[in-house]
Amino acid sequence: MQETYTEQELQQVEAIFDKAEHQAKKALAWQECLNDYCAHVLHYHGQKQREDIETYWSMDRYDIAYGHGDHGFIGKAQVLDYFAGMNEKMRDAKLRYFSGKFPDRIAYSPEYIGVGDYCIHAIFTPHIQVAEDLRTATAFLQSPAICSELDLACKQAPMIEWGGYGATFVRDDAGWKIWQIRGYSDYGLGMEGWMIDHTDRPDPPYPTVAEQLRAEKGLSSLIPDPDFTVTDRGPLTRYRIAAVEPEMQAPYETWDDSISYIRDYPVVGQPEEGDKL
Amino acid sequence: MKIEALRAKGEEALHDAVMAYAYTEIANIFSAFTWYLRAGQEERAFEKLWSRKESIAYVSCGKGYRGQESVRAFFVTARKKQREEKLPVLAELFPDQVKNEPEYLGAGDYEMHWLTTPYIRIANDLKTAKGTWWSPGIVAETDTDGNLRSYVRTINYGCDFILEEGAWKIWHLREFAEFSYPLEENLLDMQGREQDFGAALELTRRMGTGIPKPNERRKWSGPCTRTRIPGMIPDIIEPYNTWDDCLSCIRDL
Repeated sequence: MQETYTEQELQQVEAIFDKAEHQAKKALAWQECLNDYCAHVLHYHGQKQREDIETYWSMDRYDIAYGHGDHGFIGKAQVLDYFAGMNEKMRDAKLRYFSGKFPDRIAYSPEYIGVGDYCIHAIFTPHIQVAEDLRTATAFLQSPAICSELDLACKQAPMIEWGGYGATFVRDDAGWKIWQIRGYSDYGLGMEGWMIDHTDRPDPPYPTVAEQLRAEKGLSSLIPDPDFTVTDRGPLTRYRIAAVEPEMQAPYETWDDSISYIRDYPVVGQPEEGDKL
Repeated sequence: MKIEALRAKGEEALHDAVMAYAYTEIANIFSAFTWYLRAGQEERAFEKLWSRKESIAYVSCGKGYRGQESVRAFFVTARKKQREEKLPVLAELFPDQVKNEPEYLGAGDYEMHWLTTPYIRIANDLKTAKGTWWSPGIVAETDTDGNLRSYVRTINYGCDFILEEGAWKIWHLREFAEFSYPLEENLLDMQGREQDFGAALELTRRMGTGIPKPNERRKWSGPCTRTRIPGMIPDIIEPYNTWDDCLSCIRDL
């Protein structure tokens, strides 16, 4: 094997590494931009708009923007006021109303903020183009959404809305962040409230056929008893509080059990040989 | 340039490339998971996609199973036994289409969990990863009256992944219920009827701008019916080095 290298040979190898690094960074950028957009959607689902903007949007840019079709809001203060502030005021107004109307179920208290809210703008078919200079990216994403809130009778009033989003991203000091969003709505129509409301019905709605057959014969279920149970929020009802669930994992260096999606489960047994990460 | 600086540059490039690649592997694994569910092949999913660690866990809407034996009992064995117990009933209902034999297990079953809104985070040490998805799904099965009953079922997934002998595996899987509702009975049953694309197709036919005739036709398992056996169509492609026509999704045409 050669033991010394000319400067030219080293430069050639460096050029190969540079190209590999550039391609890898483009791929990572694609993933980070999609992560950011999905985090935005999931924070909306959890009614955490302010936290979303402060975490996943560029706080360095003066011209972040949130648009819908033919109108929009441009500037940090405007976007915060529109997306975060407006939703916060609406939630407060609704909470005042519902706690007054249904005091036995809903209290005017912070833990009830977002009661009955449901909003998922699911992201399908992403197309993300990262600039060669690795400073910006543009995307379009399609989105069938289901959104619901309590109506004045405290019943779920869902609607579906299909459309898409154009988005741009910028790489600032904090990494890849959302810069501008513009939504386009294709159509929206109301759904029947009962479809998403589990207040008075269990989830899943039906046992399987095999389980029904066994129950008819007085036989026990084929589904084994769980090793443990945990209290999840459960399916959507009129009283479920919106939350970011499961939560978004921030960049991390190495595994710690405290970040596991099962960290609230009872610990059983001892670590195995080779379990240490 | 000194060789040490070059080595550091190479290692950084390699780290970023491995991390980018890991994202695609995680996305593939979870897509494969739902694809196996669609085909009723939980055994294959468990063997291929899940970690061998005793610390694996599967939690479905608050009920948790931990360990190889327990997770297998819930995810694989219970489902298999349910199909086995249902099969004689279906064979009696549809004697021309369903036999009480192993290759007919799962007749009429349908389970599709689309994956949307992916958020995937790989650890910087490249040993673990976490992912979330929002999943609208449809679940259907044939009941004792011979009807295909189905319902929409949406859930959120949270999943921890671990790198094991160079391959990413599912480690802890957690499902969070969103909502479910029943669909009109037999809505998904295509038995004896053409797929209905509605007025749009009829209009193009009348205008003479209909769909051109295909070059070839081959038999396939067909759309969803009360008695269709779920299958891996298309099958999941294993990692490969170079193209061979036998890999093609149109290899039978």
